[in-house]
Amino acid sequence: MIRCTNIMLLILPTLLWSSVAAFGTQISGTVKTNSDKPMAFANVFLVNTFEGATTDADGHFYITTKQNGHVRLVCRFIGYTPYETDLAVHKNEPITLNIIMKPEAVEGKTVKVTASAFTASDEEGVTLTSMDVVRTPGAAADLFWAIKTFPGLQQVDEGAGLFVRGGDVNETVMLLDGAVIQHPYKYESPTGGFFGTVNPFLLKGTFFSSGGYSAQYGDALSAALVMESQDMPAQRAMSVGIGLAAESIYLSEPLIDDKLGVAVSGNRSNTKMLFEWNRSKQNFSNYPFSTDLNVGVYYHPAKQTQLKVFMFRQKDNVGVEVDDPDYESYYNGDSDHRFVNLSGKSVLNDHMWIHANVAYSTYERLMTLGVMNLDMNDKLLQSRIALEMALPDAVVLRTGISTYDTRTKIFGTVPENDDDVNPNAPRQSVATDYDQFQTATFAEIDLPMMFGAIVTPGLRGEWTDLKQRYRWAPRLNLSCPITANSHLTAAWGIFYQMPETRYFDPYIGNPDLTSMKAIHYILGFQVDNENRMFRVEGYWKDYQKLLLDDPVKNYTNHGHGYATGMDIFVKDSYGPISGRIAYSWLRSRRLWMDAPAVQSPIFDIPHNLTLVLNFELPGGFSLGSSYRYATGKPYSSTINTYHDTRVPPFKKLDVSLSKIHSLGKQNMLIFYAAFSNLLGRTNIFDYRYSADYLRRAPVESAFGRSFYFGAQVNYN
Amino acid sequence: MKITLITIIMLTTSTGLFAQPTSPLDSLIIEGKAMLDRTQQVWQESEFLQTRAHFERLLSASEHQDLVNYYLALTDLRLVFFYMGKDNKDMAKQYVNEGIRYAEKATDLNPGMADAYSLLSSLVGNKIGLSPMQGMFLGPKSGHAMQKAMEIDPTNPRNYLIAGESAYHTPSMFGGGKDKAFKNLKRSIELFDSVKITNPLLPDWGQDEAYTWLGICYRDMGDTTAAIEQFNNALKVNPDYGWVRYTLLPALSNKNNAEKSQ
Repeated sequence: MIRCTNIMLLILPTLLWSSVAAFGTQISGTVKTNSDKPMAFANVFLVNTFEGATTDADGHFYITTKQNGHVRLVCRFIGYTPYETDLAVHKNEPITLNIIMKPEAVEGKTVKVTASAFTASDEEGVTLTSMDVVRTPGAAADLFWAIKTFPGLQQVDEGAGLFVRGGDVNETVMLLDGAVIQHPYKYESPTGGFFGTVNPFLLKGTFFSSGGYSAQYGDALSAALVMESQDMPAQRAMSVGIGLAAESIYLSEPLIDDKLGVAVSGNRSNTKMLFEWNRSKQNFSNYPFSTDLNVGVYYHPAKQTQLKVFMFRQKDNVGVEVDDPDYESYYNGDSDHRFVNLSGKSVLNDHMWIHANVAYSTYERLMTLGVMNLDMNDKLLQSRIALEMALPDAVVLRTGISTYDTRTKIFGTVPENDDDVNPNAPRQSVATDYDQFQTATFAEIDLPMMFGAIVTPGLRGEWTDLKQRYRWAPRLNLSCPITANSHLTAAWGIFYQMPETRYFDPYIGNPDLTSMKAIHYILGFQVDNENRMFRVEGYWKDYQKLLLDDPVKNYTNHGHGYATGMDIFVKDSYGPISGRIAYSWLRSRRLWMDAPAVQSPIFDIPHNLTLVLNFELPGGFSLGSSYRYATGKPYSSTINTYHDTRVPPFKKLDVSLSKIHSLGKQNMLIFYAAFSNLLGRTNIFDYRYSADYLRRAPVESAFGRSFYFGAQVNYN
Repeated sequence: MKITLITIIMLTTSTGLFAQPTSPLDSLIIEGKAMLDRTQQVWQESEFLQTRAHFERLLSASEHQDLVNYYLALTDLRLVFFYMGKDNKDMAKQYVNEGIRYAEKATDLNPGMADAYSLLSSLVGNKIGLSPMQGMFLGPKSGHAMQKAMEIDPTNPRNYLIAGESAYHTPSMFGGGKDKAFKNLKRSIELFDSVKITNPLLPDWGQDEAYTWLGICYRDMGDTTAAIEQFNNALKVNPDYGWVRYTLLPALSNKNNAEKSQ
């Protein structure tokens, strides 16, 4: 017993010393969310020490550290911005902390909801993926046709033209990997074109804003469509498609794993069989025909640096009879579009990213219709560099500069009277050769506020050598959470757009023209929960300095107008059934171009309704259906009136059916068939009148009821 | 008594004297692996998050970052299963994204780590399950990661386990199916029996899961006896495997007894 006591006495000091050393200094405290709720299971730790603790149900934590001196304490929890602080630890002097965690603003993406935005991500917003495009019945696998099924888009005709919230078709800026696509439509027409230029399967993501958009984008009065092409192919893949009117092929190959890759695709569209098969009433001298080749080369020179060259060449031609009571004539159009864009993005450090691109495009179009005979040639050299910086407290700053060097040449003859293209009508020559250099700078900042709200003020400066002065366009965006799944959004901004270059021609235009201007006011509410979404938005757009016909100067900037409306969007799914409803109410009035007073432009379509339903059936079958209704387009019924009445409403029911047949692994064969305008309704988009306005011919849809089918093989 | 007391005191106050030939980081990784094993047994949010926090604290270490990122990704994968089981897709999506980030980091740090690629494949596959519309783009990424894992180490049993689980959940028209799951799981079990991990830091999980999923395949094929046998094999490897002990096996045993009594 004595010997045992002696041993204890011997060891006791060691035991006590060890215990004190083990206890060390206590750091304790509480972790709460910014809405003052205790945060359980947050990870609080000292960097480089492995010492730390997780909070209990009440948000309390206790750390005992052996450190002495300066240490860095970090608190992390998924979905929240990490909290970091430096502490001076002195032996046996306890430290108490109260930590407030803020929801993540940058990576979370679930917090910031942008007014009027449609995104292709799986996060917040209205989703529009490539599959959505393909699965939209009646969209003919065209991105723009699919976008037209969303709210805020007016059904002006059967084409792909995006008329957004009471704006004209050319008021939407379209970008691909940061570069402006000057001519985004195939078979161009005054209302846009028949199809979009970009194949949706080449896109990784699409962001569409129908108004109040970011200061990053400009030179557009109404909307912005931002597309991003696919990244480095992950594996060798091939797909071949053949349909009633088109053939396509796609190949991708990673040449050096995660370092270098290439993707090539080609499409050929010959619609003769399609029109003949479906007994189209339209007469053609040349059936619409197009070819395109797309090439992407991807290179990762360093781990967090990506370079991409994306280029395409597209050619199309069409010769179609124009129904006119006075004469028989054909519109003939040939176009050749080339585009190459070198883009790159790199992570400079943990808090800074850089995006840059330089692009060159050419577009040549020959068109004839009666007295009109034009050769148009556009060239655009553009560059852009942008920085994104994550600052403390979840503040994010974006800034950048872009340049656009445009050259436009137009040669040929045009009618003296705008509407009279009769082969015998008076004509005048055009010889426009115009250069324009524009530059733009922007800065915007995400500022987290109380209760999870984010305010994004921005400023964009636009300069053109035609006017030699800056236009400043301020923007403001607000996202405010109401509950975990609902947000209030608001946006305001000033938007400028230069008239198309041809309007500066001294003979048919006016070199003194200046930028057109629009001011957007938007207020919206959105509830978003998994696959369900409800969104309602109201807006007012004030248009100023629009182009107006002038008997002396040809055109002036004295036009003006407004557009107001409300968009409602509902999306839901239940098991194998998914669907969406988009309704838009619009009132648009303008004094512009040839309007004698403030009146409805052709894109004033008060009611637009789209219903889309998709059913996943057993056995790999998928059935889709869409129904569209739109108020008839305004037209002038007498020679002395302007847009005094409307054509009958547009109504169309489309149905599509597809079957996926597995060929093993990720390989599949897809059969598809589409019935367009199943009810066989003849939709009228306008009337063409004789010069004396005594006779008229309706401008009708190209097809009555029509049928399309095809197949595609995907091999990985 | 004297010797025992001295031994205990020495062990508790002066661990350096009797320390294993491992660094503190090694010990913490091994401790984290034990915590991960425990999550499979208790299946509680607190255990998952504490395990995750444990590995997160090791991210500042200068060594074994491939393993730390791998185990974080594995914890995140299990959190994905946990939250999917609770029908909380929002949380599952957050963890699947984080898991992919950590798994990719592990492959960046150690391009020869087959386990990291197969785990990445599984995480991406689960992301497709959470966002089916992204399947078209993520499907090749998942397949590519698994292909890479197989190329690096064709004898890794976890590659086949993950391939088997993935095939089980993928319709045959998209390259999956239960027959493929069955083959992969059988191969996984063969490899678990033949390949032994000697380094305690390296991944060694999965044998119990392979037996379990093989049992599920047998169950689906209607072979109750073989299924029960596989579930029991899983319990031999991991006697505390809660899912098998308290859910799968009792359900099947009851069914089996009911059939016998008829």
